[in-house]
Amino acid sequence: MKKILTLLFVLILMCSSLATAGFFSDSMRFLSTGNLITGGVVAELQEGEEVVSEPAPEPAPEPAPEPTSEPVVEEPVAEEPTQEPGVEIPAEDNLPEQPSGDQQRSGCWNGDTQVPCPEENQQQNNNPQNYYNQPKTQPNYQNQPQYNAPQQNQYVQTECGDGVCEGDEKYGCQDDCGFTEENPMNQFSGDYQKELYGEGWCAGGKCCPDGICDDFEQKMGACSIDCTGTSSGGQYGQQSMGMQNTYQVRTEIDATEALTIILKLEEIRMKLGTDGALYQQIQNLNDYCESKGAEDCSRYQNALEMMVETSNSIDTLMSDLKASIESRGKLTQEDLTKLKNNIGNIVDKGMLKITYALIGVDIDVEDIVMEETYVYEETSYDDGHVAVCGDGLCEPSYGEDYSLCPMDCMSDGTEQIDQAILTEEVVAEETPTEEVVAEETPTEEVVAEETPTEEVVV
Amino acid sequence: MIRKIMAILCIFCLLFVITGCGSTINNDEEAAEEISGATEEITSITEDLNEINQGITESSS
Repeated sequence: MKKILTLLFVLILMCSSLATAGFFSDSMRFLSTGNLITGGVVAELQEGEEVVSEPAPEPAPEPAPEPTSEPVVEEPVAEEPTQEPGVEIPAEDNLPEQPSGDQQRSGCWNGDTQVPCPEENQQQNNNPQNYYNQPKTQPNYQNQPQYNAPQQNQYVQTECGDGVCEGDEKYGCQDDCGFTEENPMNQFSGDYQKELYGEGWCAGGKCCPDGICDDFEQKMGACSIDCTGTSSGGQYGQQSMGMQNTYQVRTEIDATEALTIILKLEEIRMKLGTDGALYQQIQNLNDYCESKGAEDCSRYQNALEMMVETSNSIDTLMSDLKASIESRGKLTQEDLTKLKNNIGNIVDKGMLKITYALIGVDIDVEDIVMEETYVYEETSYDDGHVAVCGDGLCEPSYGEDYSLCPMDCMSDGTEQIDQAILTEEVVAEETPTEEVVAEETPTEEVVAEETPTEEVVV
Repeated sequence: MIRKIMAILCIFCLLFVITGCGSTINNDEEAAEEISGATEEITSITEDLNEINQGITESSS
């Protein structure tokens, strides 16, 4: 008996140690595939193949010797120095003549003579710090895959009028970008825009759209892209009619649709949170990396930290949206514009950073700044008093009514009735007579009628 | 009695095996699969976010 038990314990220990070493998973694979090559061997073989296939074939012979250490992937980015912020771009007429084709890629040209490019400039062009455009906290991306995605994304917040044509400004900021080939506004002459926006469309250099809602635009409602939420918002779309699709933020979204968005955000937040499957996956990778001990596992730790930051940002955004919906019962165009920017920030500064962290880019884990959407509309109040929704006071003279604040203003006249009912109930409790009990019955009916009102509040 | 002990021990054995095979990453191939799964999940989340952004915009052609 004892021998059997001892043998069984030994078997258990053997099984557990073999399972920990991954013996069973490899054996199962052998049984199913007939292939005895284990995962480690496969990985080694794959690494070997990668090493063999690493040197990429050059597409065409080039006259100038190209630095061999540069990855092929970096070439397209190096070809587009015009997107660098802060770099002055000479006009095409003033550009020195350059050889066509592949010769443009290699070397630098001064007139007709080719001069060697300084390596430092080349590295600066390829350095993602320039693309990331964050002068205060610049991550070290040297010798790492490039992190230029935020500039490619059209939702990057850019400042029109700063002298730098970046992001989506080429579609709507002629102060910085002018009428370039990429700017769809070059399809129209000044007369057309004058007809579209009126006589003052570009008075005093304040053109539409330029990112500034000037007096003319605000008064005439002539430029929805500048004066978000103050006009019908259709003119910019009309301008590009037939040329290309333009996307503009919807004027408003009702509470039902807004709550659907919040639920979707909640789902995403849970996926990214510490209890989510994705977090566990990366945690497992981190554990495996640490168990090997040979690699630098900070990539997984950075990704995990960035996931927590992103999850927190989504949480903040959700709270903000909930407050907006509770106060107004809908999301206005201004709210939606900010929501759009915030989601763009989450994608650019959250999700992309997680991806870059996973592939080994040394990222800076930092908070994702969320633009607040919940701002009381103080413009409708004359004396500076702001009606606070949820304080129990219905202040219709300050614009608070049932549609804006159902928590305070239940319905027309209902509040007074409720107070009267409460008074009656208190009196009824104090006088224990049969007549009072009979009076309680209609009170209960009225209270029962309140239920649908409360459901609307919820 | 012995059968009961044997059954319990067998269950423990199975638990050890399942635990050892399931939760942790044991080799580079499994790690690659895990990375692939994580990348797909990140892509899915990014697409969801972009869908939300598209939902609050309307196109005009």
